[in-house]
Amino acid sequence: MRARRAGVFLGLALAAHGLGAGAVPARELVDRARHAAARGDHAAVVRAYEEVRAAGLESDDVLYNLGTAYAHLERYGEAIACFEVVDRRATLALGVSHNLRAARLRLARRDAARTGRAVVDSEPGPWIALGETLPLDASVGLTVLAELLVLAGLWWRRRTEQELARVGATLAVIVAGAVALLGALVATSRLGAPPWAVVLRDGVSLRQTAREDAIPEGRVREGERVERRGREGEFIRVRTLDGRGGWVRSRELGLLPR
Amino acid sequence: MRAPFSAGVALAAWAALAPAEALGVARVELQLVPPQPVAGTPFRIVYTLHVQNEEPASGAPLQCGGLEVLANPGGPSTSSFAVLGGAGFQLSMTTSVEYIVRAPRPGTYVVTGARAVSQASGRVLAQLPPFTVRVLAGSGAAPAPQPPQPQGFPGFPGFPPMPGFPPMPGFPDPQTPPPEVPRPAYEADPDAPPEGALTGAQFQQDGFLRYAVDNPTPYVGQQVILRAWLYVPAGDAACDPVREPSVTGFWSESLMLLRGLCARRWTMQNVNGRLYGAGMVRKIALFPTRSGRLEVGPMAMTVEYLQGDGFFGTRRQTEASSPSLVLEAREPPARGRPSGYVPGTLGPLGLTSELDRPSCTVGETVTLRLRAEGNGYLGSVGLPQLTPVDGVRMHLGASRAHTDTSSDQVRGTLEQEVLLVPTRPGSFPLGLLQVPWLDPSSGTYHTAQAQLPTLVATGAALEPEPGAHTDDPQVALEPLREEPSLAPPRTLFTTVPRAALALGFPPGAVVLSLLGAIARRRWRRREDEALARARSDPGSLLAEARRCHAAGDARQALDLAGRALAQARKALEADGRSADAGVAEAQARCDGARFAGDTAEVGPVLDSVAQAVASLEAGA
Repeated sequence: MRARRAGVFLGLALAAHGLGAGAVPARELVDRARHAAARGDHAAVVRAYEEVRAAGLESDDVLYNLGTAYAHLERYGEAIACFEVVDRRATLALGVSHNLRAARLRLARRDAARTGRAVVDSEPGPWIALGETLPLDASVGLTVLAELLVLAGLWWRRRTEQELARVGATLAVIVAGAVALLGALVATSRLGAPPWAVVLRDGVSLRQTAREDAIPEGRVREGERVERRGREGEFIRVRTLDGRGGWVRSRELGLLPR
Repeated sequence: MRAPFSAGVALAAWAALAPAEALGVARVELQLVPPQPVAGTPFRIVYTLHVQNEEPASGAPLQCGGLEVLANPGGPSTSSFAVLGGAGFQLSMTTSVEYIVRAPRPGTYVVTGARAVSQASGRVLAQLPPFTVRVLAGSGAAPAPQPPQPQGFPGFPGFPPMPGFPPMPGFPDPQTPPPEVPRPAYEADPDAPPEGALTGAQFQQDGFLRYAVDNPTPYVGQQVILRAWLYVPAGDAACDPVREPSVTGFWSESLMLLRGLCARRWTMQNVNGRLYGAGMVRKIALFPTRSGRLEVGPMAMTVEYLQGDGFFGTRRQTEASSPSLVLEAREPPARGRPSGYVPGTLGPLGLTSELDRPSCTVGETVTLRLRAEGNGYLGSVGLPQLTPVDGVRMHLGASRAHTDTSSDQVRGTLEQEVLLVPTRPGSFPLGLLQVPWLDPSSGTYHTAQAQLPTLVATGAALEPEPGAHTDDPQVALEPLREEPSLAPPRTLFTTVPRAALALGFPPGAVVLSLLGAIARRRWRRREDEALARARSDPGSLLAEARRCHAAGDARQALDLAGRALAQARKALEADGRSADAGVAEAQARCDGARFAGDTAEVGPVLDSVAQAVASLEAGA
């Protein structure tokens, strides 16, 4: 009996080892991607980073590298979606912003060559643009810090007896209050904005209803940012920045975080 | 004797003339003979003009619509007929003429223009609404055959042959019927309201709207024609839409343009034993965009019509409405569905293609125009991408969709441009374009094909494109990061509650601390007030004195008892009364014990003070 139990354990251990042996470690995938990038094989870079992403490792660097590789392969919609995610999460993402702009320009040039007209980017409106000046974490953190500074300034102004110190404390309270107000506006705008998505591919149709056999009403541009307004099965109801609405397959959209 | 006689004559003259002045009537009538005409057989329209105490009038010529007019006598006229009637001086004139017409096919015809016009002033004295003639098919519904009419002599139609004379050569035998001419089968007019049971409507006596579709179970994308008729108990009506039918789930295209008219023509129909005029007010081509239950919403109109004749009739206004109509749209059959079939692509579909020029120099752009033409809305038919051709760069160009609604079947056209740029010299066959489509009548799929032309390019081959993007710093991509971090992103405030909590924490803490301070201050104030109240209350002071006595503090107990007694006396004196002897005695005992420092007497002293306080409080 004991020998039988030991055999079962041994078998399970071997099976578990076998299963584990199939998965490539993330670091190895990153190395593969690095080597592929060095020889200009962007398709291999994409494959490696997509595996990393599928494993749940969606760090800013991974998304940045994946987006850059997508852009080299002229898969601009997916590239823009990756860059947008990082841009919305990271506070100082200068390289990401540059590549996002470059991907949009490349896409616009391609569209212009095909159809004679192109749109680089659509303005989402001043209130939404205000919310996108800072990531949510940064705006909330800045606001909290400024609020604490306001409180500290008030406390110091009450305690001190020197006139110069009182004036300084008052100025500090005013400045910190303005920063807190601005940060709160940014955070409120971001929190109140609708959830967004990016169209991943070219020729995506806007359908009247959430069905495969619905007659398409129009199209959305690759890389276009759309507002998510609901979901039904595999379809997401969207609204473009120019006011058109319809249903799009969820796999044709890259969802952006708040 | 003379005066009563002349008065009677005057009364009789007035009695005869008075109604003649009041009843000035002109009337026109149309009558069919036979009442139910048959297609291909001549029949008569009797056009009668009746004028009573009116100026001489004549009837305007009739417009017989699609009927073939065999004899057109023009309009009737009362100038040559006069019949004296009524009470001696009432002038009544009646005249009629007969139009002989023939309907080329069964269906509904409308005869218009029946009106009486004054010969003197040109004023219209009376007129009839459009007169509907329903012509039956030659077989089945035709009325009982008329006995053969005797044929006349040539040049003398209607002149009967003389009995007993043999038929003349070259003339038909009156005894033998003419040979039967085979009549073609015609379809009923689809724009006429359906006969039979009243479907698609909710009967209302004053008027209602009725829906009908030609196909209640279409495929997705298949055309359905929705017709709406207005029924009124009159020959015609004016109408104004209140609610148009909602067509959610359809792509729609209107097939009629009324330009201010309520309906182009009116057909009389018997509904629930009453004669109603029915006019088509809407005709819309619908194309289901999804399968399942689809609903055409109800429609409503305000309607105004004349009830009764044109002279004595009354104008009525009402609101007519229809119920909603449900269609069941079917999915395209799964069986045999080819890959690449786009739902809604219904045939027959025609494909054509053309190059703007068959040959060009290498590097030049040539436009290939693909054109699909078919039934319904082709905006959904994305033409498939062309197979890549080595040596030719292909880019999608402009796309245009157009619909033609000039007939009942909406025709759609889709044009797609493809820009071709040859990169080397040679002859490039562009292949075959195939678009699968569904035949809704049989439920089978077919494929439309177009052989694309061949592009011929001359000149030197182009150099491979350099990295065009890398030269422009605006579009040059930053390089990949060599050592990317795999650490998951840390986001704290991804949800509204979290962010709101963080943002509101500092001000919230301040507000809470302020509220706490205010509450604490109020609580203290209340405590102080209670203490002050206890210090001036004789009962509380006495109770405190008893507690001090129990604790062994006799001096404090006596002090408190003395203060209790003093407070009680003060309250009594505030009411304007003085204390009695018992109070003075208790005061004396208390003061004596306090000065003597007699701790043994504290208990009785307190009792006497308590009695005195009680009596003082009772008195107060």
